[in-house]
Amino acid sequence: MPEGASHPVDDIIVCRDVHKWYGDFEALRGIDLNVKIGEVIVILGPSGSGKSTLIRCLNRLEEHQRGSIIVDGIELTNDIRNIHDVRSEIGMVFQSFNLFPHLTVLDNITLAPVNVRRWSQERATEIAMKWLNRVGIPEQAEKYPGQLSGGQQQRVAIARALAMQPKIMLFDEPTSALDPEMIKEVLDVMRDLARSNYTIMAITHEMSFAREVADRIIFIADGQIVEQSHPAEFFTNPREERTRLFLSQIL
Amino acid sequence: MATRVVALEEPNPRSPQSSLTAVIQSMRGRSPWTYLSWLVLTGLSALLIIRQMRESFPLPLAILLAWLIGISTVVWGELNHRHTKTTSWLKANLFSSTANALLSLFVCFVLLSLVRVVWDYAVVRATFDPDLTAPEARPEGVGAAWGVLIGASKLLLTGTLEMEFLPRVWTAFGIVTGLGVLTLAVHWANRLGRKTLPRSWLNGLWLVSPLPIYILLAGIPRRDPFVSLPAILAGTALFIGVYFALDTLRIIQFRIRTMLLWACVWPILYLVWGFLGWTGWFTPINVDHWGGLLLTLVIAVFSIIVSFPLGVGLAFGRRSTARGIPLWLPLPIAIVLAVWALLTSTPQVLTSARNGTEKILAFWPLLIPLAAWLFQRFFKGNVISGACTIYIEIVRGVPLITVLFMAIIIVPLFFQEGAQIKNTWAVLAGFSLFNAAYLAEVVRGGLQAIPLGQYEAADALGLNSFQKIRFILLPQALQIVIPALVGLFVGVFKSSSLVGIVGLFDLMGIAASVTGNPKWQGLRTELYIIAAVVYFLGSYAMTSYSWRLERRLANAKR
Repeated sequence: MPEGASHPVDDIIVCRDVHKWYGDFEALRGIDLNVKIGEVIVILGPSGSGKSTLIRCLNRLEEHQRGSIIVDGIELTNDIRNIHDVRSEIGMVFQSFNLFPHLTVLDNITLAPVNVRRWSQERATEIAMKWLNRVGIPEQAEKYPGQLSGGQQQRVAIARALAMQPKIMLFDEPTSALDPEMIKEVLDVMRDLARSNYTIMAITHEMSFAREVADRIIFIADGQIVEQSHPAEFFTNPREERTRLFLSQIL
Repeated sequence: MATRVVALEEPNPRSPQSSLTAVIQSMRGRSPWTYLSWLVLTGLSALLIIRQMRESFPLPLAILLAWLIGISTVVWGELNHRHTKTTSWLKANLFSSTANALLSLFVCFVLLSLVRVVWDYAVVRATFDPDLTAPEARPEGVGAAWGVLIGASKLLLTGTLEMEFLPRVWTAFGIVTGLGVLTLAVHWANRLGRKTLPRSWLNGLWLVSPLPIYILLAGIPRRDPFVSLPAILAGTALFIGVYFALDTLRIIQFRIRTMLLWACVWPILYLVWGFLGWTGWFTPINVDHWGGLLLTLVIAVFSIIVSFPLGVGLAFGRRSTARGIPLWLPLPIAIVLAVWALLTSTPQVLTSARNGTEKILAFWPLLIPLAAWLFQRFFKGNVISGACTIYIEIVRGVPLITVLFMAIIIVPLFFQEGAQIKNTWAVLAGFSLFNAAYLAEVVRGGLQAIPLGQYEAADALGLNSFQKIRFILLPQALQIVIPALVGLFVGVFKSSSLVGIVGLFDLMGIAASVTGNPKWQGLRTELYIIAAVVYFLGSYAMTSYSWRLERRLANAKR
């Protein structure tokens, strides 16, 4: 890992000139990005701009074809061992929850800790219950995902990702599939996490959330980082024409 | 025509004019076909009733009375706008219209006459004496000669298997029955909330049970009490090597404790095998002598158990998205091979060729690069997916009968003289390989029904391939395909009777050949009825288990 040695120790994610093609379509066109430990980053951008692709490349759900991605000092290559090591350090929350419908809420959460982290069932259950308490639904532990509301399911999905004690949390539009009255309960949980020093990268369309918790906002369009700055500056004084156009459309 | 009649007579219970006159009036003004159908049904029913009444009086009369009472309660309820649970059921199912009421009566009497014929044949005029089965010994006008079941019971159950081995067959049967009873008892106790044997123990017992059953049914060749240390070490090394390979690829990871247990499996198996072989307690059985119900069950159970993991593997293999090998790798190899074959084989064939076709055929090596190119073209160099797809499609394109013929005629050609493979094993292998292809497609259907998000969630959590398959994909895929899977298993059970054409005698084959024996000549009906009952019970057991399973899994989701 030649690049890995040179990067500052507190950068937990380092992307250098990351390119990604889907067939002929270039989804990412040279992304350079450093993320510090404990930083909360919100990624904004029009649909189809490559935001999802970028964070899915970080845990190799998508494969990048050029450039390098180093997460927690491990470079993502085709080596399956590196991929597994990186994945167990990254928690991911999806737009469509992706809970396992055939397992109870508790089994959903303890599955990976028991099988990947090799914790005892007792320890995993204890930690799972701790997180279920933190997201506010400990009483649903024995139910199946199909019996919960959308907001509750998304909170279980967050607890499932957190139970692995990851260093980084990725959120891929976690509130987009929710009814309006359930968005708040999920955002509250995310706010809570942002304040407790997790490294977070979130794609969201909740501008108030972005303004409130983000340390940095990254604006992506056409597979490139167009602008990145502190939210106060980003929303009030955008530098790029493309950013201004986007903000005028959504605000 | 019947459906049209029903549609015309849609009853309207809330109508205010629904009184007796209205009922009668509603029967007027129909198409001539409706009246004709009523007439035909009434006539046929009357004929049947008269015939049945002639044979014996009380039963037909009782049915007729029941029908009359039923129809009058329904009409009474209709007139008073008041239905009890019973009358509304009767109305909906038996008396929803004039034609349906007549049809109910007719069907009742058809059933009665059928039951009477069967009852008369199978019970009233039947003999159960095993000595009264030969054609000349059977009394005049006798019905079923069930004695054949007692007389030929040994043949029907185990075929031509030597008598001395019967205790071993019964022991094997006892093991399976015992485990079945144990499983039921544990499930029952669990439902009552009592702590008994843990599930994992039960699964473990089932998992090892094929070994003693194999030893009982096939035996172990007698051998010297010679323990070969290299063999033990080599086996253990193989186990550990495979483990490390899987671990390095992150396909499967055991805990150290589990790993050590697995490493002990080989030496223990080796020693037990060697010891039993040395004692000579289990003389080898000629498996081609298996027959009757034993063979049917062995074929069904063996091919289901073996084809299941094979089929699951093929399904995952076909869906493999592994990075393909690039075209430049296989193509030069194929060309080198083709050139080599052209230089060595073609000249010989050309010199001995007798006509033009044979001369053209001599250039067969040219097909090698073509095959390599086609393979790359269709599977993009993905060897796993390509091989699985080709296997599945070829096997599914060949009838089972052909597979069985190939198994016993072509496969032995590959073996050296003397090391001949037994027909039964060849057939069992053929069955399993055949069914694996069908099973693979069923399982693949289930896998395709699982949303992509499930795969992504499992990956994102860092589960390895084995864990992803074991905990996320298979449970969901199999639950989706339970109906198709059980249909397949029932098909396997029934198609086991095809082994008759390659000279093995399963239940069906034995039943047919028993009728050829002078002692039981012409008792086809009896034997085929019994075969039908056995096949029905087996199939029904499987389907009813699958219903229960589906219900249980559906309940778990609510």
